[in-house]
Amino acid sequence: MREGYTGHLIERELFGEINKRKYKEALQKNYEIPSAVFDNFELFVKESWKKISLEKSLALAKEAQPEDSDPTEPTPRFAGDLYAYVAEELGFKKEDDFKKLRFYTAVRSHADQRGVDAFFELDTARETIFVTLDVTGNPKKGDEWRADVVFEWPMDGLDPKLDKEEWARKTREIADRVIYEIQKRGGK
Amino acid sequence: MSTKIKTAEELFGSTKRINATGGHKVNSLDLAKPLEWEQGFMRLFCEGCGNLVEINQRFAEVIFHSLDRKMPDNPREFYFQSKRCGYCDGQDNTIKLFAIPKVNA
Ligand SMILES: [Zn+2]
Repeated sequence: MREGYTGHLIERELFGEINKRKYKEALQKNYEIPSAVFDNFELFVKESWKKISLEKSLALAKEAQPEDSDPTEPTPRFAGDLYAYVAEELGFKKEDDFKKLRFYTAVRSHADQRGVDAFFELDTARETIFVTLDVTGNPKKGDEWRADVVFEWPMDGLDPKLDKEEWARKTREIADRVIYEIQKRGGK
Repeated sequence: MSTKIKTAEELFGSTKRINATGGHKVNSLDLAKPLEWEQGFMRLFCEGCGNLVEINQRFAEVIFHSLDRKMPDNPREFYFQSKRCGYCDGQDNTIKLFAIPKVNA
């Protein structure tokens, strides 16, 4: 409450001489600028920073998954294919197996700010492990952490139908790197 | 027709914006802490979702410009409070400048 009170006083001080109507007009006229920054996540993240642990940022991303998404059946084609390859390499066959491996997007979440675009969660006999992914050939300087698997994707993109072989090769290569990270953590 | 998959969003999908429930209160102790980001210039608190971020000078300048006022000589003694931010789904663009309350050590 005190903050608000102090704040109002300061505001009055700062805007003191401006009459209310003019002040309102000035605000409205210029509101497009912060609105654009708020609307554009990439821009907002470029100009701001939040102290947050990796664990907390991943937990927040999990809470903000798209409607009707199923972490054991990711909808985007690439995520789905990647999940299938990783599950296959883990030797998963039964439905109960698949429940142990979950995929989450982190795009436009707090984790995105630190270079995590997506992550896998895997229940092992001992614990739940995470493998983070980032699709950029150009990790940002000053990142507090880097994703476990940072990969480059062709600038012009790939079409899963037209570029079938390259798509499969690339997806499998990334799946292998996810598996390698899982092995490092004793998950396979 | 070719449908090239290029962006992180196309590859992985995208998270939803956090629900801006509103009414969040900023913690004065957090505002009093020194900035930690190397580009950190001021803080912005979103009362829509409770997000507190450090912002760089460029962003601060944009906000001061939008408020149609000059930057004070001591910007670090102030913080901005908004009703929405880049993470939440708030719609209200109101943004205000407040003094950081003095915290007794
Ligand atoms: Zn917010």
